[in-house]
Amino acid sequence: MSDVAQDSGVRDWHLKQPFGWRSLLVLFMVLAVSLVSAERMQFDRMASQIGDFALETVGLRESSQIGRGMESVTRDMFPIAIAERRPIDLMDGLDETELPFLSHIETVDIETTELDPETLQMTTSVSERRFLVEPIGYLVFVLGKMVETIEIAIWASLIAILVSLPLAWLCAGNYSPHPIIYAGARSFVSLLRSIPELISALFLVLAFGFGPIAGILALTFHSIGFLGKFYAEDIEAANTSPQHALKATGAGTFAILRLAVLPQVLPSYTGLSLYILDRNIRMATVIGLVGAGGIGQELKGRFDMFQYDRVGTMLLVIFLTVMALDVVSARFRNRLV
Amino acid sequence: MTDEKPQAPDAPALELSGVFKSYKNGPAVLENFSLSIAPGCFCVILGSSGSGKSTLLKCIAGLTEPDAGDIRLHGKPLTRKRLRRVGMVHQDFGLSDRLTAAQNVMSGLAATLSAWRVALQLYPDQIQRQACALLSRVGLSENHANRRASKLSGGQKQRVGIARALISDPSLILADEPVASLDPKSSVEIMTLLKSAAQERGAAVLCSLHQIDLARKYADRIIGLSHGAIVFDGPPTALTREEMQAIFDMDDSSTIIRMEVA
Repeated sequence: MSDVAQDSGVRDWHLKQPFGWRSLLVLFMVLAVSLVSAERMQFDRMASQIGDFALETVGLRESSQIGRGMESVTRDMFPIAIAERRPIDLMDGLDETELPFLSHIETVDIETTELDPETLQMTTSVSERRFLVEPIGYLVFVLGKMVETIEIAIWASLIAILVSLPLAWLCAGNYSPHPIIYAGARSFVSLLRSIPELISALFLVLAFGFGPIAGILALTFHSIGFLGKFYAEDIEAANTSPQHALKATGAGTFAILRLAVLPQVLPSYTGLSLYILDRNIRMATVIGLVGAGGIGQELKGRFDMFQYDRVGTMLLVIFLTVMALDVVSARFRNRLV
Repeated sequence: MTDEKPQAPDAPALELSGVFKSYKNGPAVLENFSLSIAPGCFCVILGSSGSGKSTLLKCIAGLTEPDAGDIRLHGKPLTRKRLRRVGMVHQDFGLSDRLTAAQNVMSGLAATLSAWRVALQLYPDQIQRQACALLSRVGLSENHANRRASKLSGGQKQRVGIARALISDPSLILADEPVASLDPKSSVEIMTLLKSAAQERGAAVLCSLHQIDLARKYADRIIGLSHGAIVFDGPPTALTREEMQAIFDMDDSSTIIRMEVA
């Protein structure tokens, strides 16, 4: 031990330290920049509002802005809307002998008080109004919209996967047939990835009109941008040993990709594809906001009409769907990979 | 070593003349390299790491282009199509881990099949039977044949590798350090298998090794390679201590050479 310490050669060694003065300098600069940025982002207002809300909840304050905003929404949101109730006189072609499943007709007497222009007296007249009540009608409608949303996402993912598989070949540096094709394919994929779904959906709705087509295309474009890039990177990173072995048998590019590359990248491709499906289902609920079909379209309409009870139903359905999806995709992934 | 290029049926299984190869910004790995191997000869290339063994084999297998020079199989220039009759066994086995042993063996004939058969991995019955026969020949069972390559041991993987090299009915088998990642017992088994399987078919073997004992035991002919040049060429019995030192750039005190010479 002591003779090691006395070795003059070893005493001159300098070992790398985990951080030095340069790291500290960078840390201070990051801190300074974030202080300036926080001021611009109105962090002070956020802090004071959250403080007010905290004081209100413990009873030290009468009201706060957050409290008022949340109260007005939650008061209208609960109970959430499950039933659908529509006046019959506004519905055309309802066959009253054959009502829809689980529904009944409710008759309500409505008193209307009005001023009689001749006698100048207030008169009250009673009119009968009839409603068709479907006890779970709205929930069923929302579930139908959710299924439409999932259909949009599945189609978008499926088309994106099928297009990305050959595209990845062109985007992979080691298998692309020509540098120009490689550069072209890479730029195309980057372009698709750089346009957010919501923006492309906005334009696609102009081109294709309201409805799921615009949604499917918007999601497909972005998904190709994502999958094309990551599929290609998997091909580039694949172990070259089986590829060389197959090349030595005289096999062509397609056989090498199919037999030596695809089996290797398949687990990763499955993971990426499941992620894209998962993401597309979440995005499909959002792109409806600009009219591209699915539950988002309904959500936006009800939100703009301040029907928060119906918004609540939709939020619950979306939440449960995404949660169920998490469980299903986790199981699927475990079995496949 | 012959300089003429005979077209006769007993032309050398493999003939290299004046092969040059260097990598980018590096010194020449092979410089004016010439070599001729008779049909059915089990030829071992002995050399240390960086001596050019792998580069030589890669040039022959079409995995890298030589800068200059002529490579002939049975007197005919090497083309992509003739390359199909050259089997290759790899140091790291070169198997697709998620394909079964049998699928790996059959992939050796993928070059001869149509694209849709490759895409669906639908091999003709005759190829399937051939793969079964070869897997049984290299000592594997039906159970092994249907197992993913990743579930096989190192020795079993190399057996699959040999079966894949044999399925194209090769007249020349290249083996790049076939036992470098195997234990001594498996190494002996694999080398024995490689030699007997090649003998049955009358195929020539060009096998690179760095183990002197294995080279002595199996080779009909040893070629000592050092810095891309042949420093020894002859039967194992002619390999002397001085020549081993020249091959491995070592002095007398090296343990392995003392062991070998003792």
